[in-house]
Amino acid sequence: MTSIEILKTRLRLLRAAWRAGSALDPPHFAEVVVQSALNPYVSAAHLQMLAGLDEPYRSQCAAALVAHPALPVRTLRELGEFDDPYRSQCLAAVMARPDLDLAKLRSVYVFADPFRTLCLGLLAASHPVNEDRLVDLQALPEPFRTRALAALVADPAVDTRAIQAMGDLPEPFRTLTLSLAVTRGRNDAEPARRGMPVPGVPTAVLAPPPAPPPEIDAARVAEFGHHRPEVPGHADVFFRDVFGVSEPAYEDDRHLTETLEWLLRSRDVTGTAGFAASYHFVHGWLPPYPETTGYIIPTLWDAYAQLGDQRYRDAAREGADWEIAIQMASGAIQAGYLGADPQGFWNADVPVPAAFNTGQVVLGWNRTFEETGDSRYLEAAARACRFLVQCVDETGVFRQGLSPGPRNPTRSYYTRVAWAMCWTSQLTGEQTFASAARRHLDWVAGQQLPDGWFPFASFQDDGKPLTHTMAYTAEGLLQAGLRLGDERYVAASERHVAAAMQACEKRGFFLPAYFTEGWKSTETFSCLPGNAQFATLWLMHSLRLRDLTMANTGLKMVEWLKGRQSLDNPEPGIRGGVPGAWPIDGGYSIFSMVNWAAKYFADALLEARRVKRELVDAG
Amino acid sequence: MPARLFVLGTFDQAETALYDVDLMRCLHEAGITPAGVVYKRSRPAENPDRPVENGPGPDGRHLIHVHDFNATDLVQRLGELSADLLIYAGGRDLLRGPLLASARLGCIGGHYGRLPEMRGMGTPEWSVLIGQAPTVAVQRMTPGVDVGDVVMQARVPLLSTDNFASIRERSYYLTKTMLALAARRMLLDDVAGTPQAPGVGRQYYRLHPALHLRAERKLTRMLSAAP
Repeated sequence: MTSIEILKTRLRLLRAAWRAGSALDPPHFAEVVVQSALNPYVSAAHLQMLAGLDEPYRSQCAAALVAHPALPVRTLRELGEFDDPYRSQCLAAVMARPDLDLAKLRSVYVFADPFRTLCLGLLAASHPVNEDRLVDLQALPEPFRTRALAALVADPAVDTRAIQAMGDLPEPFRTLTLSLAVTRGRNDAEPARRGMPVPGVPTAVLAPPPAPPPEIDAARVAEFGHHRPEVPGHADVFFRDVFGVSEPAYEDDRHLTETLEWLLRSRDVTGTAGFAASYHFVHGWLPPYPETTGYIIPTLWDAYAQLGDQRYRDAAREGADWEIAIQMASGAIQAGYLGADPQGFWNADVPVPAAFNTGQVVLGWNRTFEETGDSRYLEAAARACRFLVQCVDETGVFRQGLSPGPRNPTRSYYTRVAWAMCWTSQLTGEQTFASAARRHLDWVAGQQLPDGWFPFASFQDDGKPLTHTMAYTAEGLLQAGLRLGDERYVAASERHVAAAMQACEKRGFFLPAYFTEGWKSTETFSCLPGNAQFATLWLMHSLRLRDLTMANTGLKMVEWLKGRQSLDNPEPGIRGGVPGAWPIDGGYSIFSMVNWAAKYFADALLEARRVKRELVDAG
Repeated sequence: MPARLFVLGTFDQAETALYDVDLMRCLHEAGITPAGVVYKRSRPAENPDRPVENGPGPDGRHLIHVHDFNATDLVQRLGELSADLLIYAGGRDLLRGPLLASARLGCIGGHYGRLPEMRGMGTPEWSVLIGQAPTVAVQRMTPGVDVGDVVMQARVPLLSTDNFASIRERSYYLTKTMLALAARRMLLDDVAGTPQAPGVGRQYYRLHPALHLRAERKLTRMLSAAP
């Protein structure tokens, strides 16, 4: 079709959409007309069939049709017989599964919430649950009814009539009796019985009832009071963490796409192609952060390669362009945010060049050059590396260009800068980049203790690094080692992450935010970017070594992180984001969803995809 | 056999039934009459702050109810009772040095996994994943995780219809039997245990569901390939 034909078709559709939209009320009218004109597949006749429905359901259906033109309009009309919120929930369910049986939806409609919503979720997820058996459970009192539903999900053969008869038993005998009914004959390999995620069904449905909540620390609540508790969604996260409750865990890909959506949102709010540093409970979205935007770019390219969503590709390329636009004359990238920091951590009168930040942006440029072949990105990377070479002294320590926020004068986590320099050296043939990088890598590897510990990995000069910077150090060594084919660096990274794995597992699967030499820690909170980074490292090394134990710990950490991410929070700054700390009022980036946590969680989910495909499922 | 053997375990049975649990039956068949049982309940609220002793009864046996096997009072009491050997019936307690040293021959416990290669948790599944025969071992307990001297170990017989639940169940009965046999031999000073070679083996942890599924698939293949 020629361009003019496309234009004519669009205009014809616009007229049809206008006619259809005229049956709708403002403000939905204009939105539907414009959207349908942009979508050549939506049928104006279908839109007109919605005319008799109530608002806002009519507009919801219209928007759904614009997004999914193949939806069965007759079903949408018939759903109109239900009241909200069930009607809207059904609409969402039909969007996910257009062949959903209306009779089944009617049979569930009579149930009371939250049981009704859970049942609808099962129907939408194509779970082989028999709705007649749901009826057996609907009259049971809560929370026993939800436990009974979980039992039915775990074991479709469970006798629901028998469970119904348990309804009058006193607790805890009733729940014990239920557990006996479920545990009978649980030896087959059905995933749900093993706590495996069932497509579309929150894992929480399968989980045992939560432990009774602990007493709330008044000081923590008072502190939360200074972080805009009135904003919808803030208290959800705070009390979730205070009570030690987990969010429902869904399939990996749902968490991945929600994380990427959060990242795209964090970019859109800045009005630039840079990604907002974080969403903070008091300050809202912070300014764009050049450093982390740099290393988010490769994540977006990876996501595009695996998921095919062109928005990720566009965001990656635009991010790389934005970084060129803000590159300093020296070739460096500035420290801190591009704009005033409301928290006052990064403010400086004039932009300060920062070697670490520069290295992270080089990673984004190099990857964009490899993906696009556009030499502008490689030229920018080379300019940056000429700056970086000047920052490394003869012993291999970065002495110049140290970021002004951290205070440690000697920093081993700049291995990530060395990785960027090695890569640029390979792309440009410029050997000075690689030789400076090797000096640093040799120095860091030479510092490593026999138990895998790296001195100088801390932001501060205190010998107490965050897992975030510990993992930075191991990432740089691994990636540089793989690029250079130098097994010494790879082995140094492996020793470190293997020790971190033991440190996490031995604590009952808890990775404290800080460690000191000897892998000691008394911290009671986690640094979530560090957790996600180590998950990725464990998964990467497991693939390299074909080591199932490392794959196991990495996959478990991904699962644990899912429980820290809310996918239904009403606040867009929280929904799909990943906090800096767990609990959210822990000791690192408190009351914030930080973009580097989202980036590393996306990396971990992408790596988990590979590990499951190439290592676990292949066995 | 006249020996001062005490069984340590978490039991929710009535006190009158504690001498009728599986391990006790195995000990009885091995000709050993325990001098007492040290027990706690699975619900912490049901345990006393300090050890409560009931006995000795007419049969001369002691029942000691505790909240923590490492309690100083208990360690002292076991010393007073001149314990020869302790058997840890199983669970996730960390037994500390003073308790383990309170009996002349120390304490033995069971473990599902070949030592020294396979320490930690989820060991039947990990055994299959790494291509090792599911094994149960009796070891002299130490404060470390599964690093004690190995007194006895044996492969778990496998059936073509097995799954991990049935393997665990068989491992359970095999362990109780082996604990009774090992206790008998130790009380006769017939065996002392072989120290584990340092640096051999590794510690395993709870499995992610995806790994569990892989272990199940591998077990099915392994059993169907068996002659």
